[in-house]
Amino acid sequence: MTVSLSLLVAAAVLNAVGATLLLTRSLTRILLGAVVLGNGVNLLVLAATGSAGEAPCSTRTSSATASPTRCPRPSP
Amino acid sequence: MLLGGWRALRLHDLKLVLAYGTVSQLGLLTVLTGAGRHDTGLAATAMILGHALFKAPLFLVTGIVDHATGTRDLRKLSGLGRRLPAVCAVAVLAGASMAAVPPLLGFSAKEAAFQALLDGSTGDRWALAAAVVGSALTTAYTLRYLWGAFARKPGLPDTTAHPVPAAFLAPPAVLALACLVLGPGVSWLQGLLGTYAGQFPAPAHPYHLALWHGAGLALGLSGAAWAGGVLLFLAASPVTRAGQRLAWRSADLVFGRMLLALERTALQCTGFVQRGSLSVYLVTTMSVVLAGQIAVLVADEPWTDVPAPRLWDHPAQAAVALLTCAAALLCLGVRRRMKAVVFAGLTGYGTALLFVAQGAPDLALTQFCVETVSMIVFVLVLRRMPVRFEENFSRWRRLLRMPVALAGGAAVAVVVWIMAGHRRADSAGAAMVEETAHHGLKDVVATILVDLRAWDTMGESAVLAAAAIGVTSLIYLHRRADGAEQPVLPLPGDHPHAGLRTAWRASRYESAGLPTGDEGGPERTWLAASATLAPERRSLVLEVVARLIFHPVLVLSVYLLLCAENLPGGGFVAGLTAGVAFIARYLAGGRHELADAVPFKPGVFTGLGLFLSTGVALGGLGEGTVLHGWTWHGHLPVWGEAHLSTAVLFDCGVYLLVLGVVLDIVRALGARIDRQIERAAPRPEAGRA
Repeated sequence: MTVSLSLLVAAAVLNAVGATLLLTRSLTRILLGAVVLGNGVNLLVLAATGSAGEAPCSTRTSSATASPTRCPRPSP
Repeated sequence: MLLGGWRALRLHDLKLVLAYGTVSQLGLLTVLTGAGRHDTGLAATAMILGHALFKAPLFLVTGIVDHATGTRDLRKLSGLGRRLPAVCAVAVLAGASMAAVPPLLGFSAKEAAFQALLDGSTGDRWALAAAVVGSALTTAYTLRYLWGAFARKPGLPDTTAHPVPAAFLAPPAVLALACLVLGPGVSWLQGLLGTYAGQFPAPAHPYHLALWHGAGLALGLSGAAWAGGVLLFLAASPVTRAGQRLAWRSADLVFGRMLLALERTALQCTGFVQRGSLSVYLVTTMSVVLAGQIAVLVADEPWTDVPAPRLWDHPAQAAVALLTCAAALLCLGVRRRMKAVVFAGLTGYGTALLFVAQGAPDLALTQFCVETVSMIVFVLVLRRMPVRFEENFSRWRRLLRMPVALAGGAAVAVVVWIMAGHRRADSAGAAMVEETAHHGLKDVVATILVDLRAWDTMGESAVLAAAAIGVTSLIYLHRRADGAEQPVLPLPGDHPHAGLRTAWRASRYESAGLPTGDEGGPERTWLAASATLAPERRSLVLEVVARLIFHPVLVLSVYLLLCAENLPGGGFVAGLTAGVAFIARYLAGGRHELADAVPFKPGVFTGLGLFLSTGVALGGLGEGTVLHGWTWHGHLPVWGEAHLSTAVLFDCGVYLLVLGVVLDIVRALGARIDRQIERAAPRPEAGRA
């Protein structure tokens, strides 16, 4: 399974920025660092889930004929 | 074994000589028992019995001597053998057994021990060598004991002693005689002592206890031990001197010094490591984790067969990722607090857009709402803080944290890339979709949240409620709900449906002849801020817009709540959306506007929500399992085709809970800070963000 480089780079940058902010002395920056780091970790999880797909909703087919192939991958 | 025997050679108290002799014997017993074979087990039990039978009378004799003469110091005792011959005889008998002189029990046991160790492995041979030296020491301290207690020493007057009654001497005498009898008769004990040894697998030629096994190597070793012991005893004064010179430190002193040094080292270590700086701790933690990761990566080289990452799933994804990175980097550089908050929020919105690009609308919706609420909360709190950051960090700190943070970011990305590349298992998605379709539902994520993994949702809701109540209570250490947050001017007809206080107010205004309802109310009461906010702090457009969109947003939140089975939505998002509606009222009109919009305490929402969701969960017990869901399909008169499920009720609980949490936070961090600002200000004015 391959991962998307865009997501990976964004996650790495967000994590690095979050870590840098965490290492500062100002408490506000530390809090913001936690927020940014959290977003970066979310992106990491997203990157690890595989390629982009359709939304995990079988709205376009009727519920009776909802086939798994319409929804290749639910979000994490 | 050796240390005990050695120390016994330079002590002057008879009891201490025996006590250190016991230490030495215990060493031998440990060696024998620890060898863990049939023969050594047999020898060990024989040795235990022998030791009991000779050490007990010797201690008793020491007591008798002490009683009769008033001293146990072998430098003061002299000529006691003449004066107390019977006592001396008992002591000599027991001592001979201790020195393993035939035909006593001690000899048989020692022979068994030597033979058992002789038959063993190389390690046992080394133990045997130590045991022979120990036996020599045993012989030496036995002689020292007997000589010290009973011999006549040159230059010392004979010690005076009371006569010893026969009954006083009888117990040690019986024990010493047992040594004498059981020495030749040791084979009678084979059955008794062999029980323990029988626990081990028996060798081809098991050892049998007997007094005489012939003139073998074991006997020779015994002879060597006796000879060595006698030599050691004869060279008593050099041995004692050497012992004292070697014993330059007592164990107590060494232990005390070690304890002191340990304490000092610990204090210095604590002072060095616990600097009280969060960033030092974090750098240390991250460096250790990173070093471990990088070491594993370098050693294993797991990237050899990992496919290279693709550039993007969609060009839009790359664009959004780029913008997100830019926002993050800008967040790093800005000096103003509010700007930093906005940029941090932008990274969150960027993340949400990436969720959308990845095909996760539920996640994106939640992320948008959470990011909005948290940004507002941040802004509310930061009102009371200085506009700019205080930049007082030194250059080396900046130099240190940059590489650590960069390495951290890169390391996690590489690990995820490798991990995903090694993934072989199928995605659980297809099974989830199938399960959802099986229930006749369409939105997979919402189904997971309220049905498949409802336990998790319930637990997380409870944690969220507890955390919010705890945090908002801790910020202000007094009552969370405060009656002083009533509107200054009551508003007629704002919420005809909204609780006792409004109803009371409305009736009062009706009785005063004022018109009620939105359409009939004068503008200044439709917007509470007109009466409670200073004109220069008001924004009429914002107030009107907030007032106008309030109800549509609430309706939207209910829609999001109810559509969750088929479309992205759900209780959590819906609750946040409703919370945003109230926040908008608060931002536009101040805390009085908020108090008017929500006439209940936020805790009521939180508690009701938790009650509802756990109630639905427990209701499932009626069907046998917690969280059992009921579904009803049918036809409603106006609605048409309808589909009702207890999962929606569960979601309603989550909705109320989240709404309560948001309101609680806005009250604590918004309205309460407003009041603080008002109190601190010279002119009492209602504050606004």
